[in-house]
Amino acid sequence: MSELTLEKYLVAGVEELGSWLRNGQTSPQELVELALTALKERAEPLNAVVNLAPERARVEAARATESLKSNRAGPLTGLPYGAKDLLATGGGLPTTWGAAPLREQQFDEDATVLRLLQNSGAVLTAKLAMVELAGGMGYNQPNASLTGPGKNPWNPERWSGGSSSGSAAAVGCGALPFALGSETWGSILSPASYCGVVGVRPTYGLVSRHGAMALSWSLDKIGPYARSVSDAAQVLQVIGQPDRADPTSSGREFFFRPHMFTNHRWRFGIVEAEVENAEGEVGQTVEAAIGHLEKIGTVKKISLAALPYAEVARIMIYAEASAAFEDFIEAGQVSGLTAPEDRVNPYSFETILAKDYIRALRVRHRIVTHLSEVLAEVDFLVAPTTATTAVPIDQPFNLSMGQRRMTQLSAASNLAGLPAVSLPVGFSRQGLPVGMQLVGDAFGDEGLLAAASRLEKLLNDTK
Amino acid sequence: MEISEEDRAAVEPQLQILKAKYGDKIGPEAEKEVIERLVDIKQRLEAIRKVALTADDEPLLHFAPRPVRRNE
Repeated sequence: MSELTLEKYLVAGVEELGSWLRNGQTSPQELVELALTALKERAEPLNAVVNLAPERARVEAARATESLKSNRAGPLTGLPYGAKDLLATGGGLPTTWGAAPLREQQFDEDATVLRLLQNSGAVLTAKLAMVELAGGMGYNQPNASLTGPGKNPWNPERWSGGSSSGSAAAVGCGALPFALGSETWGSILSPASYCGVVGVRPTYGLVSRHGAMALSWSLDKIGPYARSVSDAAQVLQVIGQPDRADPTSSGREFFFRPHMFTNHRWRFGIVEAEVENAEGEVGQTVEAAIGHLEKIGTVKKISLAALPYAEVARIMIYAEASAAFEDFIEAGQVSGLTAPEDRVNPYSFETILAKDYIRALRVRHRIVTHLSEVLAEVDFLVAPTTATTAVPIDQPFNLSMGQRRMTQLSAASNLAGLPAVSLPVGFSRQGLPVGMQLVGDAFGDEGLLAAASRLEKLLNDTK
Repeated sequence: MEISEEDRAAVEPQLQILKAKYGDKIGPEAEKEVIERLVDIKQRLEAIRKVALTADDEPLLHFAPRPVRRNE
């Protein structure tokens, strides 16, 4: 009989659970049952789950057991995980895109990332909650999902962030060791910050989007959540693969070899305006973490040029969403969405003219060039992930966040397709997590995660 | 969101086009929300138009990130 209890499972990460599996201290079947219990008891009360997948999980767990017996196991073999519900699943498991009108939507096959994870032996255990249509309709409140507002694992009266609400919350509450989310503008990193977990936004084109809901073809990315940087890197190593089915796939593979960076020293550029714009406690906590960066490199303050980052990002998302959801909008299906503003906002998107979109693309080119110039001088850009800690669940964002809704770096780096990681660096006095983001060069994902892992160790050593 | 009379007037033609196309989907209670979004889009486009572009600022029609050449 295994000695693995629910309490031990809840705090174990990818590395630890994988080690127990390979040593025979637990089994994929036992982990699936623990995950299902944890999802029901901990994640469902946070509105983090759309559908559990017990039957599929038990079949995949049996397959993983065979792999373990025949020594064909990889780091994720036998580990339960969850996927944001915009990743298509075949086999009769619905894919709702977080939208009530699509509650029963079915696809014939899995998204590429889920197929890659299945091949690695990971066990899909739940489809996780998200803001309806990944927030593309312009929502202004936490209550914008068919599963209700995502509640924060650290305080259920606070929001879990969006749009990958359930993925971050399920990892944050311990129900799953890792999960997949997606980001168009802030949707992986912001929930990671609010829920106190690690979130990785890979370089645009590193991870296949085949089978994922399209919100903005030129901005959408898929990435992992986990409890540590190295755990997230293990997941990215599986999903960061070329895919002929995705025309934007870069053809590159992701490898994580942290030993290659053991004594490396990096140049960190602190985006000063972002630290100053953050809420007091957020800024102070991030400044304390920046102090640790001096142990692994040089630190200097930098400024981003005055460019309309947020405006370009918003216009691009509205215009592309208007095309991606044209049928849904024109058929009036938006009237079934949860947030009242999402039921009418999208009609206005089609007023964006082609020449406006092209102008935004020209300014985007300017933004990409500017970030390339900045990243020629430093290796990483550093800032608070979000300007506030998790906001109240019952207030519209224009009240709870005001002008602090999104950071400039978030808009700029998403427009440039750059990789980023958010890691927890402390807590507010109210016990809410504070996240810090590091943004790296295009396809510099490995060095970025190696640096974040070094920082994480320094932070853990001082606890 | 506070909307000036000038902004309200500027988006009126677009509002009428949307109402003609979508009819009762944009009822009186939804109209205020649509106007706010139209003004929001208008203001964002104005901010984008303030960037002085040159012939070198070609649109990024096929977006593929590239690593930068480093200044070590």
